[in-house]
Amino acid sequence: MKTFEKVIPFIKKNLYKLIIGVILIMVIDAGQLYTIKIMQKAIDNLNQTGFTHQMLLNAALLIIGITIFITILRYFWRLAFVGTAWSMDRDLRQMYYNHLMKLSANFYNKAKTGDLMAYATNDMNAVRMLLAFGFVIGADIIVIAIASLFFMVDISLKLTLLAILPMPFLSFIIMYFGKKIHTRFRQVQKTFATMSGIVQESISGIRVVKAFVQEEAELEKMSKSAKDYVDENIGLVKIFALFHPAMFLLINICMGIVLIFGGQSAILHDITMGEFVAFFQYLGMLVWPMIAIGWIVNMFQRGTASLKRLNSIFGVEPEIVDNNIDPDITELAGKISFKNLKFKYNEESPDIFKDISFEIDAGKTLAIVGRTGCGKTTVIDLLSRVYNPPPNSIYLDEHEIYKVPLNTLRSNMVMVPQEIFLFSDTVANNISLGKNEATREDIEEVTKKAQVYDSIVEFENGFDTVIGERGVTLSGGQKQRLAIARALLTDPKILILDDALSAVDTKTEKSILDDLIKMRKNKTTIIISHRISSIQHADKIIVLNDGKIEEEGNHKQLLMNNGIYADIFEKQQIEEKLSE
Amino acid sequence: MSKIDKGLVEDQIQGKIYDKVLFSRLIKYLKPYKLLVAISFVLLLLITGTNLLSPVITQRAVDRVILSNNNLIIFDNEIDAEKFSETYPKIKFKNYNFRENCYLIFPNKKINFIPKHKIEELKEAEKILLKIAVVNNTEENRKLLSQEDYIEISNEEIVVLNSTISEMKEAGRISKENIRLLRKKDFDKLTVYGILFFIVITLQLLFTYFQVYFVNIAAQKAMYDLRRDLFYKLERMPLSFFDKNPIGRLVTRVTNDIGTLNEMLGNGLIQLIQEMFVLIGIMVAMLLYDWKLALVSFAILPITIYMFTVFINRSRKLYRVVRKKLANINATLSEDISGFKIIQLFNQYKRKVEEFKAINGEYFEASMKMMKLFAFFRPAINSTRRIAVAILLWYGGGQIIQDKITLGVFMVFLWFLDRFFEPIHHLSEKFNIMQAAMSGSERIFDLMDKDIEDYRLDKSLDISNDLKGEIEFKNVWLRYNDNGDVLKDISFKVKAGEKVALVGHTGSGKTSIISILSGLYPFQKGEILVDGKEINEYNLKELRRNIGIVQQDVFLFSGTIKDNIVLSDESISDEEMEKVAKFVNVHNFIDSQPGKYLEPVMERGATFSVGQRQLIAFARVLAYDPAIFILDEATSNIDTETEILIQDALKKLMENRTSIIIAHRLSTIQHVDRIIVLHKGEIVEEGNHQELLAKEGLYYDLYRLQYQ
Repeated sequence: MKTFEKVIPFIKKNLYKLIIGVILIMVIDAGQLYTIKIMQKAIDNLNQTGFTHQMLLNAALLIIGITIFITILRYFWRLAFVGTAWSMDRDLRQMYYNHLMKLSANFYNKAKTGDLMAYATNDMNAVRMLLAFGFVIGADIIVIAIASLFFMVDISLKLTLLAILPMPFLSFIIMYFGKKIHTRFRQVQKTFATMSGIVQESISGIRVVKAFVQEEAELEKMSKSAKDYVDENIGLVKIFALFHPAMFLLINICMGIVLIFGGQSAILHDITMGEFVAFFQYLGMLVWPMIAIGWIVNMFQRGTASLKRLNSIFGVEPEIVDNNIDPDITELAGKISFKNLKFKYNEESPDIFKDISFEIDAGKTLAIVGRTGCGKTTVIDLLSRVYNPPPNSIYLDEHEIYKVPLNTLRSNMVMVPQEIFLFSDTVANNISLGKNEATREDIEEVTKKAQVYDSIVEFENGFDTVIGERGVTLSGGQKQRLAIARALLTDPKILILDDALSAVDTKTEKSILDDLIKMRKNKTTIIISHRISSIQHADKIIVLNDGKIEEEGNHKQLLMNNGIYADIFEKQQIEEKLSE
Repeated sequence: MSKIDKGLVEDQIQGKIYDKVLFSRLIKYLKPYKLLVAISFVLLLLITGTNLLSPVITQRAVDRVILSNNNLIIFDNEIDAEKFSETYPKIKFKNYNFRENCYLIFPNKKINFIPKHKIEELKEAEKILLKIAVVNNTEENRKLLSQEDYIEISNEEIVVLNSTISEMKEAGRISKENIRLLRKKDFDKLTVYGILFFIVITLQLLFTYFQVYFVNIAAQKAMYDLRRDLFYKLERMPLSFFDKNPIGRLVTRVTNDIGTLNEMLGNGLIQLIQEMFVLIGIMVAMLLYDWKLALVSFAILPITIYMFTVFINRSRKLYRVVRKKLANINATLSEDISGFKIIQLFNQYKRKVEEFKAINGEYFEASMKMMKLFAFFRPAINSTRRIAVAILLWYGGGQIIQDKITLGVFMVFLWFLDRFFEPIHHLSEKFNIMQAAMSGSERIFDLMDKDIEDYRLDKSLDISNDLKGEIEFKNVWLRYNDNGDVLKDISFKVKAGEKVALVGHTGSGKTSIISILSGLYPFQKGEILVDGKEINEYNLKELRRNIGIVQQDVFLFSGTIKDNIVLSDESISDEEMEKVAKFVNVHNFIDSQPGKYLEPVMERGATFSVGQRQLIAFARVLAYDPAIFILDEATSNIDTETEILIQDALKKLMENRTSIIIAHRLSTIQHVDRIIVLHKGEIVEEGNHQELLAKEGLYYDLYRLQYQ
């Protein structure tokens, strides 16, 4: 039952609708069977004297009346069930989305985007189908099966037994073939995946293919797997080609049995001709439940499997949450201190930091440098609580970081990460992400500061140009400058740039940062850059190496040290010369 | 299209379900399998036949055996009987002369050819028996009935009123067993009909099985051919094409897009045709049975068709809306999942939740509209069938009362009506299949119509043996697109057997030089000569066979190590392969693998280190023994042990072979005869290591940056 944890509240909330739905189903089934009865009576009366056209017309009109009634009921039935299922689909998806948005980097590092998306669509579908049809059809087939059997037995028990003799085989065939088809289908998918893999590989390696003149050889390779795929498909077709005809054969065998034995009964005057005709009709009604059983089992399996997958996501607790906070902290001045920070991502992984301590006063600029992989980004990920730091190691204005409500932290500290993420929305909306109420003037102002204004005005719709696949494609540098503008707009107490101008040329970077440092007077700024030339004016520079702070000081002091900092600086000087 | 060549047509849902041009191109692929298609077509006809035959058998059984649908008229003499039968030529009478009397038997459904008053006359004279059973004239049967109940019409047959048997049974004068005995003849006939019925349905199974089987084989084979053609086309596209189109999209062409066609040929189209056949067959059969009854049964059809077309039109429109909204959800999800960090950092949870609520709500609204459409039209369309049944009951019942049709015919019509409405339900599903297939084939043929790389196959190598390997660039200019020149006026010469290193900063054009040398990209100006002949004069395949390249990030195919060394050349023996591997110092490594040369290589060779992959690539080149060797050296660090092996192998490889190396390692540079220094697409310095260092120019700086 735990599987249905998320669904049960919906069922409870809509219980009356669902009950009405089930009742409607029963009424509809009764109506359907009743029309057969009407016909049976009418046929029997055809040979009686005194039977008039008027009575025949009445019977026909009654059937039409019932049909229209059933049609209306069916509409409401679908509304009750499918409509409820759709609204559950909507709410469940929203819950899922809300939950996702609360989860942290630790979760996303492990999850695949494709999977997460499939959950929101495919799995949600399966659950919806289960609710919409699974239960109803369950009720439906029981009512139909019992009622048709009842009417059939009422006509002739012996004939009923004879006629339904092949029915269990029908269920058996459906299950047997269902299983076979399933395994065969998996086989087909496997060969399909292999084929896709080969095509994918061949296109990825097209340079090698061409360089070694392997076009024909690749074709043969692909053909081989395509042949396997075709063979598997034909294997599947062999089963399919038998499945449906076999099903019909069995149904027809039932019909044949009724023809022979029902015919005999009619000759023997055991049953009337009307009953004989009706018997065929009831038998036709009985076929559906037999087919539906296989279907419903399948739907149930898929639905619960999907629910389990969804539950596994719902079961992930958000890590980055307020816990034990001091709600009075609503503002930050901007002082940051790290005290003996030790950190690793998880138990098994090696230490990222062994012992890191440093301090930056409110309103100052700090730069962090170091070789690739030294942990620069991790420092600020911990500071901005993308990951949870160990307790009592980071302090903001003397408050332990966990005391600061996330809301306060996020509204006072803005980070521009290394990998810029822009939404496929207009330029203006992307910039005003953190400050939705910003005016167009404000937006233009910050883009000028980030030196991206000129590029934006050149776009077809200026600030209203849509970014991304469906709009304009931005260069790496443009993206980064937009992200800077976005951060500047919020004008936070603490601003963090994580190598945020790496795709911009050195000169522009320097000039942006010079401007930025001026603008950020009296506000705390942390800059990570791989280019030393652009951070040399920082109040304090720390050099990270091997999980420790290797050097600390301002530009001049560090150069005098003649350590890593000086070495990197020299190499960059040469590089700069080369690219001029 | 507004933008110039933005790659292939985007994956989108097209509205079309039929396109003549695309269709005829598709059909071409079925041509080689026309026999199979023809057989399955014949089978289709047979299936339609059996489909119609089984209800007909039921009808015959009901009318001829189960119901007593014959009447008997008694005449005193032969002349009267003859006269009577001549009066009604439309009725087929069976004539019996027995003892003094003459008997005529005729089916009840023809009774309306005889005027009512005549029937009344006969009834009054007790000369007519309505609804009789004909039973065998045996001692036992006669004993079962009393004298006044039956009439002997021949030595073989006696006639009994059906109602008499019924009355006798009700009065308890005859047991069920005795009726069974009495009507043995009819029971036997019924059994024959039953057997016929079973034969027909079994045949139906066989026909259907083979039909589905054959048509799918044809479809599968045709799609196999198409897939091969498409893939081969793709493999021969120029490299610039691959720069423009994402791999995923190209893979989709060869896999999923062809899959939609397969679906259409194997499932959609054939079933559509089959159902059309059955539909027409049923209509014809109904009209032949009783055209008035048929027309009455069809009375509701215009309404059904009208509702159906409204439904299809509306649902197709709505379907597109729903798809769009779903795509919105997917796009938002994918974006927000990728951007979760920014959303959290900028404290945008509430806003994003609201945004998603709106998008999710739109999808819900659209789906509900779709659902309501279905909830109304599905049952409504379905109800027309029941209304048709009701009309049939009213009109057909009246016909039965008037003896114009038999109950069997009525049953057949009931059955036909059921089958008649079935295909209409399937039609909407097929629409979707057709739609997907049409947009799939549009994308496929869009790719098919693109031009492949010019391999210059007409130009074969003058010298059938190998090239010497002399290379000359004469004022070569290259640009890939409008982003400016990548190579500017490049001129240099490499003598046969000479070893040259290309050195330069990122983006200096090193890789471009080797790309255009093997003809991977066309260049705009200048000449490239190999052995004194323009490369445009070479057959591209021959040229490439003579140039062995090891790329920076060595690409290994999944398969075995052996596959990756010999590639497709089966003429390379295992001994040769081993010799080559030993020569480039990779034999020991391969030999240490559990599968040796048959050790499987995972995707892109991910399980091997960069150095190991490079050594395998060396073996690959050497196995082909090209005149020109090109190496784009790996930048990443390689452990010292492997590095020594590589350097040693490299030295051996370059021996007596024209070699161009994009070098990143000092040791490599020291092996070469000459160094060409590139900067922003131009050659700035040239000379050997010592000379260049002494110059203290660009090479000097590069050297300090990279090799120190």
